Amino acid sequence: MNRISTQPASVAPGHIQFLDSIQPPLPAGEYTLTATQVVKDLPGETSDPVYDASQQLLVDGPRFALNPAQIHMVYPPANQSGDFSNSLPSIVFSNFSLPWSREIDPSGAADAPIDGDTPINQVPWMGLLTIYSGDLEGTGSKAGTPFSVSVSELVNPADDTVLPPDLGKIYGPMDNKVAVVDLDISYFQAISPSLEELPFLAHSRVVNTDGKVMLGMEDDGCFSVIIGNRLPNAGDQNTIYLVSYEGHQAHLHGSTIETRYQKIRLALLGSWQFSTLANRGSFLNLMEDLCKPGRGGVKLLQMPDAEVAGELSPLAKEALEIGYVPLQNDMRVGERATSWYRGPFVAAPTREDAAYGPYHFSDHAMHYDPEYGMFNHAYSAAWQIGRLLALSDAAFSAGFFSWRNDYLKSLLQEAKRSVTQKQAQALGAEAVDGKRKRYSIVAGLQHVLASDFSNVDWPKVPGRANEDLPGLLSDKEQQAIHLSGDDPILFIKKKIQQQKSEQ
Amino acid sequence: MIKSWRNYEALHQEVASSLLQASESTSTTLPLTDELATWLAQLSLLYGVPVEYMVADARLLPTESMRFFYVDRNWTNRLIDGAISVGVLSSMEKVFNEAFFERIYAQVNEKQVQLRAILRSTNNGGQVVDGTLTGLLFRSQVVSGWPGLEVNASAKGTALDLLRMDRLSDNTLLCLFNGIPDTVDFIEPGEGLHFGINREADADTFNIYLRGLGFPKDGAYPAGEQIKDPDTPGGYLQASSSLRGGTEKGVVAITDLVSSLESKFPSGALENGTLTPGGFAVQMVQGAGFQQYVFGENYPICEAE
Repeated sequence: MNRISTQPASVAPGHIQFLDSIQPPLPAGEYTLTATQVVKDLPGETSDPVYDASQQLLVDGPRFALNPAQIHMVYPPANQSGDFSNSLPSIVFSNFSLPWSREIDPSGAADAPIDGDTPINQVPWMGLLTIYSGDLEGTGSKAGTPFSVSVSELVNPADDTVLPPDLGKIYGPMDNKVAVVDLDISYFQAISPSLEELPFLAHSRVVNTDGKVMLGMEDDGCFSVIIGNRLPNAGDQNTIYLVSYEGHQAHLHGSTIETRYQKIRLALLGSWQFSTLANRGSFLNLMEDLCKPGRGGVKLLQMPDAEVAGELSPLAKEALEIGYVPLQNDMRVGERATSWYRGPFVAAPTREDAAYGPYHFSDHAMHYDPEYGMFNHAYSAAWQIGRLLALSDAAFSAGFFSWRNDYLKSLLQEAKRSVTQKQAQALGAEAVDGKRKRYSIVAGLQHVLASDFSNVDWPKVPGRANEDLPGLLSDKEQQAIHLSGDDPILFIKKKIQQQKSEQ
Repeated sequence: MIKSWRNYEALHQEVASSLLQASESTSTTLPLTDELATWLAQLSLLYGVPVEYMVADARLLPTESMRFFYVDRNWTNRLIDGAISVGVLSSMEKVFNEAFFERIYAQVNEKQVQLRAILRSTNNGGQVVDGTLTGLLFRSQVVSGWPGLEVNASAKGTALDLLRMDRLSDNTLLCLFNGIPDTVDFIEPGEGLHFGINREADADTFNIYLRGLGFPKDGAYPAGEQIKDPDTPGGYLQASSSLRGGTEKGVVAITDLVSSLESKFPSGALENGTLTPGGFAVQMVQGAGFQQYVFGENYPICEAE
């Protein structure tokens, strides 16, 4: 007997369990419940009396229409466009036994007793048909257009070239309205699955999405799924019909139909549309095809040496192997030369070497091979890009500039403070003898005063370094004064005093 | 003379020694401000660097190709040299750069591994592993067609931090990893559980990768996992089949496909040797195409010249 678990407790969180089908306890249809009671060993009776009772039962289920609340999701999503050209359409029902709730052949299991030996019905009674936009073109198109008829017209169409489903007994009023679609029989047989294929196009799943959103399926529990058998048309608007195959078991793909019929009438349970982008091939194929001839392949970032005409020197070969490419560049003098260049991506590991840096100019970072007369512009180009990118970002360049200057200023301030501190220490230090102490006091005081007074805005003596003093100083002396930064007046005074004393 | 009162020599010595001290210091308080370090880290991950300078010749990266590489730290350090050369007006700034470049590099390297986490506003900033950055360039229609493509790199089973994953153009993807991977996985984004096939554009034949169904019970073929091809290292078993012929295109011949799948399954991998609707659905599930490159196993894969 079939067991039904409607709780996903047996499935680990984040897992999906696939089942062939979930059988309904009783498929839809008409049943007779019979009960027999035998009263045994009654005194005075030669045969045991038998009492029979029977009860007519009707198990109803969706037949010509579906409650939209039972549709959990459809794929490809309705009215969306995307890359669906390699995806089979599917529909998920929250009614977990819906696809098996009817026999595809309404008369098939009519008289079979319901017990533990009932064969499992794995043939779903519904399916998805993928209709391309071209199939819907024109009046009387091969895919037809959905319209509404009464139930009696579904089973007995007015047009006798239309093949109706063989539904057997109809429960319910015959004048109920049903959505139907008439398809060309040849077209229907070309796109519909065969009876043997149908079981593979339906399954059930048990989902436990505990703790995480799993593949867009937020809900836990049991679901039934119907898959279509036709791929959507690339770059096209596609329509999916959810149709009932009930009573059409002998009309599907591969079966022969009387030639007088031209159309087949299907009860339409639902439909949706979506657009498919131009075909691209599927992910895995594209990934595998990287290695096909004419494509790029998968390897290290290297210049293919097959591209180079002629014989390669060992040096050139090595350079290409480690990722260098020869490029033309204009020299400063206007000459055009070939130089090596290599980007940040290299085919061989490199070691970070601080001995390279820092370079203060891009020319610094140019390498030259005197033996072959070739420049290597890899690092100089990098330097230039770094500078240009920094310059192009005003916030960064200004920020870095002021950060560096602030840092330098604070460093200078700190150094001054430290120098002054040392002088102050020297000032107060215990001296070994009186002479040195006096010297320390004088020198220290001078420095302290100099540091403190240097911040005072003293009246400045105008510079006389470049004043022309003919006769007083020789050119050599002038130069010496200029270089030493001494006051020329004082120098002259000294010179005069010296001359006086000599006299 | 006021000017000569000041002891410049002592001051210069003091500045020089404190610069030296600061530059050689190994203290964790690094000099750069956070914004500057982030900017330089972005630069060192080649944000803003023109593609022509990364791939100097188109033949290095033809269409439909994948290229793995190491990142040359010396090159990215030159970028930083260039950037910090801005505003060098005198020997003062020059001396500063000379003194601090190594600490700036170190700070940028530290920031580099946290950058993606910062950009994604998560706290899982990485650690500097061994300082080697690697990466890959992938130029293919896969990049333009699957915007949610996932790339995972790992070394000895440990996932490597992705430092940067960006599209350089519509069909070119750049990934930078922190460390040297031995395995790189490409995972097709899961857009909901759905069913489908793998085929070339508009082809009439297609293939399906075989997935285990949990049989036999010893777990040789775990449920839902692609079955490895014992004959091709790094390859996976697949069954090929074709569409139903005839006037109407695109119809999958289900019975042919089922028998093709059944014939490809290793013995014992199917219950009773037959494929049931549930098992068939597992084979048809599409949504997480998975391409793995394993160093030494299926890498380098091909030259495809």
